[in-house]
Parts: sequence; C-alpha cells; structure tokens
Amino acid sequence: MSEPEGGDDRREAPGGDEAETTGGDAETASAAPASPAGAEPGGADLVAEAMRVAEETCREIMRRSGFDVRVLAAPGDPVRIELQGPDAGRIIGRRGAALQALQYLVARIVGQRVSRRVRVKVDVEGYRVRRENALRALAQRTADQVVRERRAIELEPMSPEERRVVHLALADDGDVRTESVGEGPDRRVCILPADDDDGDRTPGGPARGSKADAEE
Amino acid sequence: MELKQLVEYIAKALVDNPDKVEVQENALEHTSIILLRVAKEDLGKVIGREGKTARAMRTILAAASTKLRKRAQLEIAE
Repeated sequence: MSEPEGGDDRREAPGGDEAETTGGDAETASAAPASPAGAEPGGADLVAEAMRVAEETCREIMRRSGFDVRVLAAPGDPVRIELQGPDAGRIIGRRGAALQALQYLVARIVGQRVSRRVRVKVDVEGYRVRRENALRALAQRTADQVVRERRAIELEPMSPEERRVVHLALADDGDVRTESVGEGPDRRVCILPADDDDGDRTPGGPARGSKADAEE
Repeated sequence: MELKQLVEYIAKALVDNPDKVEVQENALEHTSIILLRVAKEDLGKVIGREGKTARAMRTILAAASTKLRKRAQLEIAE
C-alpha cells in the first residue's frame, strides 16, 4: 500500500512490447497474473532494487564490452537507464538493434533477479526520442506521397516498437491506413490509401489487419 | 578484455544455476568461437522464446567486437 508508483503502471499507453521490456518471456509471462507493480507490498523497494540491478548490469556489460560510457539510472516503472559517452553510438547498432538487444537482456536479468513486473527502458543520449521523431516525420511524408500517387508504399523493415510509432502516427489520418507485412526481422509497415481495401495486393502476403502491431 | 567474460557475465545473470555456467573461447585467426554451457534446466533462459535471448546476446557480442576489432561467434551447447 506504500507504493507511490501504483496505479501509474500503464501511463505510457504505447508500451507493452519490446519498448519497455518486461523480464518475463512467453513461457513464464503467461502464467503470471499481470497485476500492476503497485499492488504488491514493498513495491517501492522492488523498483529501487530493479533500478540497482539494471544499472549494475548495464555498467558491467559496458565494461566487459570495452565501452567508455556513463550509466545513469532513474527509478520508476519503467526504470530508465541512460547511456552517455564516447562509445555510446556503438550501443545503438544498426537501426537500434544493439540498443534493443541490450534493453531486452537487462530486462530479462532484472526479471530473473528481482521481478519481471518492473519494466526497463534503456536509451542512448536521447536516441529513442530522436528516432521516434524521425519515424513520425517519415510516416507523414510517406502518407502524403501515398495520397498524392494513390498507391501503397512499404517502409523499411522495423522493430515492433518502431512499427508501432508509425501505426500510431497515422492512426487518425483518414486518408491512409497502415498494416504490417512480412515476417520476423523483415516485418515492415505498409501505408495504403484508406479506400484501398485489397490488402492481398501488397507484397509479403495477405493483409493481417491495420494497427496489427498494437497486439504484437 | 575478453569477449568470453562478457558472455559469462550475461549468462550467469540470466540463469538459476550460475555456478553451472561454463564458457570456453577458442580463438581462431580472425574470429573466436565462444562456447556457452549451462545447466540443462537453464537452457531455455539463455536461448529464450524463439531464440530471442540467444539472438540478443549475439547482437551485443557483435557490438562489443566493433571496438575490440575481433569477431566472435556464440554457440550454445545443447
């Protein structure tokens, strides 16, 4: 009952995928009731401990990678880790893949050692914020082109988190709709004119419904 | 700094039996093979759903090798 974060658990609505990775994986996560962290006694201690483990884990991984970076941590749900320094760019990797991998591993380790109910978000010198802004701009530019040329356009393959940003950016755009096509690492957003209801024409197989990533 | 120690640290943090984690590094000319062994019941923890945890470790390993200028390949003993 002493948990100040309680009830705040879902304040970041677009979360729930790898963006703020919880420690559990499918084998175990489905067995665990998805109660908010605040419902547990000692929730604040849990967050503090999760932050400590996440910070230490990042620091050790960076050190063993030979990377010169500072690790800053802020408590909360998600626990936020920020990496800064000369080698920060190396942690981002191609299209953010290394950053995503680091966040996933740190969340798994926090899940193993503390609680899988505490989410962890790792960023590098504001990379995610910049990337999200760039993705929203790309989504809008491409949507304009789709309307102008009256044809579907596919974007580059993206992570679930990045696809979600694009879907959400265009969710209220009445002139276009979005869907994800392709499988695995090749999965990408396709932007179509809103009145183009023939999803089968898009390369990569039949449409799986717009805003599909909201459930991924 | 050996990449072996990076793998060992991550693996030990992920599993229930860290004392059963063994990592060997076989350095070849341009690349090194890192062989990870864990307790049988911990295999799922280092592999993950659809290999996601193993893939994440390989991605981190690849990022780390950019600075060390040394390629490494992670293999998990089943």
